[in-house]
Amino acid sequence: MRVSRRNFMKWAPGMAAIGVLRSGPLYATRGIPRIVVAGGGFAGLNFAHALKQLAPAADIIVIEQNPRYVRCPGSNQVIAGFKPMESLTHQPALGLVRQGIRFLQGRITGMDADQRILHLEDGSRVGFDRLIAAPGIDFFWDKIEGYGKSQSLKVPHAWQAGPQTQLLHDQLAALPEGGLFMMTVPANPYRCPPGPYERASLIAARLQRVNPRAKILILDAKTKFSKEKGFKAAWTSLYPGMIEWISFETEGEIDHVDVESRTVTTAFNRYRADVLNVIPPQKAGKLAETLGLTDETGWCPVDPVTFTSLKIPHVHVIGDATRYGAVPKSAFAAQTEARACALVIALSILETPPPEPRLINHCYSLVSPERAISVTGVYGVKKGALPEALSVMESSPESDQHLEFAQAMDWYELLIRSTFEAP
Amino acid sequence: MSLLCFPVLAGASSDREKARALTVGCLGCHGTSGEGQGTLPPLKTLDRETFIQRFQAYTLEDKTGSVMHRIARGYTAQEIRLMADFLATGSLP
Repeated sequence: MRVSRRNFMKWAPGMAAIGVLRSGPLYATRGIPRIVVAGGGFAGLNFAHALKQLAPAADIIVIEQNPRYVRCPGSNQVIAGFKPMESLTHQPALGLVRQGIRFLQGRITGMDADQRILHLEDGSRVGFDRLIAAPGIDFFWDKIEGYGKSQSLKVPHAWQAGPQTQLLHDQLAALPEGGLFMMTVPANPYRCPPGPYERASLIAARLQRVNPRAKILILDAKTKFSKEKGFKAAWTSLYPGMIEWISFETEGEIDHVDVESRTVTTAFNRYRADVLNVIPPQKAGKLAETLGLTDETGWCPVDPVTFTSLKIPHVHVIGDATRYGAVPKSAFAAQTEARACALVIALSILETPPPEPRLINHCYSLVSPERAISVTGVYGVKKGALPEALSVMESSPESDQHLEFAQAMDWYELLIRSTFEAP
Repeated sequence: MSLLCFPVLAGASSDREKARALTVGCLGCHGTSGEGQGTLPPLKTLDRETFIQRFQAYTLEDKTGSVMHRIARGYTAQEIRLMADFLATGSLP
């Protein structure tokens, strides 16, 4: 079987609307098109490994600006002092190179979409036949008055792991006796919907040991939240009277934040914290904007079956940056999307039309250092529409939270292995 | 380019690739080669009949105790058979 240059891109949905600029591979080696992955997080790395697994001869390059990746999953345990910072840090290049995937450290500054060339900060250029963009998230720095990027150096968001994780950890470790830790949570969509409540749970577990009179206050832009029943039951039984959750429905939205006094002013009230954590509203990572992949929502619209960008031809977008129907933004969902997209790309090289993807998001949250709850969603694409939930269920109240914790640790292990080590 | 470059996809057929697409979601908890991990059982060693039997039992049982009880509700009987056929051929890498 031969891949015809003429036909390689033919089936790709979204192309009809945009118009095929150049149909054949421009950067093929021995007839095999070059696949470039922009972004080395959960989506990008799982894509590269999955494609290599399906198509060992594929020519794959991963471009990522940071040689070390500090992961968000698990970072709440570090913030609460149950795990060391080093446990979050990985070197993606090691696993990639072992699998014969090229790793290029560099920052992408632009793209010639017609010639399919990426421009890097150091002046080098990388051509691609297909680009898989996995840009992750960034923040809207102009939506909360008084809380911009420079203010986050004083009052952390800790919603991208790294120095921010350490900062919040250090501030919490110095929380005065009987002090108040306050967190603001944005409206949907944002990365890791249950993450803020896991964070509150683990911090409560820590404070209960070292500072039992301390309090936690969550100011939430939502009226309900992921795994709400499970979290609230755990808070009542494990940390009675410690965690208070307030919805903006009763409180009014945040009017402004003052990082000097760590004060949040809402429409009706003013709250002053000893340690403040502001999780800002989010959008696709900066790279998505640089490449022109975002729409007015700040996220990247994609074809439901092929993840093809609806903005730029020959580019696919996966992970948190996408506007992908009912599928939540989580590392687990990202690795499922990555694997589905790898199948699409491998089949496209063989000129086989891709089947409709079926995705799973299965996500554990720790409610204490020994207990976990979970949410499980199966998502399907039907008749070309964005994915819908076919089944979404949370742990039942009688579920064994210690067993779920053991499963969560194995689940982490698999996620880390498939992302950073190899298949 | 020869299919030798794509041993995993050799003999790609629409049913097989449909089944492969259905199993993509399973790999996050059962390993990228279906190898399993600790409390998360391997898929590789499950025979076809056992797979179908267990999966269908999950959809019928009126409880949601385990993760699979929740997941199973996202697949039709036909899809369960497709996945079982696919896994029985040892097609996971």
